[in-house]
Amino acid sequence: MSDAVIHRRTVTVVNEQGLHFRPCQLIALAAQQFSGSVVLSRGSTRADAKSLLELLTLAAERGTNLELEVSGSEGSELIEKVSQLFASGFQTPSQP
Amino acid sequence: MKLCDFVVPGAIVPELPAGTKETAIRAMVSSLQKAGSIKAEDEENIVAAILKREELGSTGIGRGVAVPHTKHGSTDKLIAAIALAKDGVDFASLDGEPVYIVFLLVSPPDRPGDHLRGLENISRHLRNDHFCKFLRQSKTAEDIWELLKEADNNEL
Repeated sequence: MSDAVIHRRTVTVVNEQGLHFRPCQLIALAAQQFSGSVVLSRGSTRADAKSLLELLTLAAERGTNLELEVSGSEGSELIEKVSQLFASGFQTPSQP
Repeated sequence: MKLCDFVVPGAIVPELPAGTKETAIRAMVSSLQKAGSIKAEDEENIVAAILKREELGSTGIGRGVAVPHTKHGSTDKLIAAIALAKDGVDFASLDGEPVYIVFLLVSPPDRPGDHLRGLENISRHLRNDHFCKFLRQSKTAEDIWELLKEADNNEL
């Protein structure tokens, strides 16, 4: 039952400006390509990572740890992709 | 942080003239200047910075709302203007829908936390259907200011 697999990982905001509009947009764009659920949590605040509006409510400054939870088939690929966005400080080779 | 802490009362535009994304942004930055929150000599530069930011990707956030913004050294605290566009403005939003509510933010470059908390505050209220509905129905700057106060006090 690969659909039932839940992947979890702690990700850290490393970029100086924190999880502002553009990083949230990049996360949402990546999550929206995925059919399963993607949730980012900061303490008790949970945000559907497909929703820019919800991601912005995390107000995560540099150094904040967030819990990333992905469920659905091929979730391991998405968790890698989103983790990489965080690790790179949301520097993408080309802006969509 | 509350909405009334950073929204400039004199920079509430209850009825934007019909126009484009650029004319909307110009009108809102102008309202901040007229309210005394930014200097006249910085106005054009701030407009240019906000338009440049829009080129990276629209700040249309969905639900008929856009949040154009920039970090700019001309202000030492987070400030915001609010405008309503009854006919809708094409902000090239991801959902393809026109924008009826615009929050425009200018924040100092060295205070990223304030910028994040401003975005968080606006986003949290925009998730409230009553807030969006009442805001779009507002006719005057006074109505909008009262609504912001009610939202700040969790009275919606």
